[in-house]
Amino acid sequence: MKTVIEVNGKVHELDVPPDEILLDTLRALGYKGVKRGCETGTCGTCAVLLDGVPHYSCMLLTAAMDGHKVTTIEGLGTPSNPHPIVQAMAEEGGVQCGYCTPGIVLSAKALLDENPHPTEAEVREALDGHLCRCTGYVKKVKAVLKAADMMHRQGGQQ
Amino acid sequence: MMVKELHRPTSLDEALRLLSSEGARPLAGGTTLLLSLGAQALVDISRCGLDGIEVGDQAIQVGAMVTCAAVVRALRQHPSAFSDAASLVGSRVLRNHVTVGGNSVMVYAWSDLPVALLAMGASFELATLAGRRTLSADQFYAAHPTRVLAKGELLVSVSIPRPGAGEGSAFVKFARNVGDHASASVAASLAMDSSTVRSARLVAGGVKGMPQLLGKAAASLVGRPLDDAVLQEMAELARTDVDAIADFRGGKDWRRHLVGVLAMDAVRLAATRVRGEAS
Repeated sequence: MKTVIEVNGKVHELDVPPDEILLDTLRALGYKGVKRGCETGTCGTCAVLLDGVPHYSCMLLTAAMDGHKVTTIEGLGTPSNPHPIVQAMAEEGGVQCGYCTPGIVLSAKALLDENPHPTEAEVREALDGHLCRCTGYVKKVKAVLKAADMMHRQGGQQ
Repeated sequence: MMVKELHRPTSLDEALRLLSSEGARPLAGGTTLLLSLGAQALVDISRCGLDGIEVGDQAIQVGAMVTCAAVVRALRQHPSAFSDAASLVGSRVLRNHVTVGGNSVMVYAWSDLPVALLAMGASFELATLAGRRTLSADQFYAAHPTRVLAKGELLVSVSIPRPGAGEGSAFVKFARNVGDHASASVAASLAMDSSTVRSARLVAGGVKGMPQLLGKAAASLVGRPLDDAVLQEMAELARTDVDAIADFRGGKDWRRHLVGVLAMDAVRLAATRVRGEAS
């Protein structure tokens, strides 16, 4: 089925089966930062931003996403110029195995876009819906708060 | 999966026409449908103008495609059992998917919105190509809504009554963690004359099958003040009134106990709203 989606600013004109999930489409297109986890809308590893709002890509049909804008982790910074949230995750030790990280960074970005100065409680609430089996969340929460600080000092969001 | 077609209608009439054909099902947030895609044809109803929230004098009209996250954002100044339940559905990310229409219709034992909607006496607007009808919450939840809806009929909006003077409602839920389904939940809707209860409606969810009206417990409050003795008696009636299942989350008696405790919490929170206190 003809479907047009924009991923990280790039327009993709696709022909997809009606039952294909966005997770599969994105990975086939090369956006491997979108991770396959539970595929039941629980773990958060496949999360992407849909028009700026966190969604589980395993719970979206690609054909239903016609006309929407998707942001994956590949859309946030580059290895040489990382997004402040990515930078803060690395500096604070918020990344261990890294499997949950793309989804968590994207939910953190959605939070900071809407609320540039969140409290710790607001960060914890924003990361609800993402499971991390390594870190115990403490360092991730610290990293998001640090990123908010970094972005503020840099004068706005990236 | 056996989906052969997906349609993307851009008007409600077009959606209703597509839904009138054999094997077609509406696709809303997709969180339950995508786990067991059994339909031949899916009708994506996200482009049919069903995503509005209108706060009127008497009622709040919520389109079927409004997400729980949107309800939470839009109704911060209008706390009720409905907004409580919307804020407690699934996880934060899931609330960006789950729609009011989908969660109202696809009732599971653990569902949150139906418990609140039944306690508040919401009404449900249904549409087919032939016309519209409105059902009360009691009618809509008289059986599983998928059986109450006629073939090709679509829930287009839910109307939540706004509290009048002396009225208020609340929903509380016990889950093992924030993303887990309810082990038990209770919604309370109260009308009070100064300090005594004029009428009350209590509904338990998360315990077994469809939401259950706690008639005896609610009746025990009428004409009385909400003191500890009255609440304890109400909780005891709620515990004995409710039909519960045992599963890996816990046993029947534990669920009954939860319903009693949650009923007290829900009534207390509803009463603070009746008194106009911040909550």
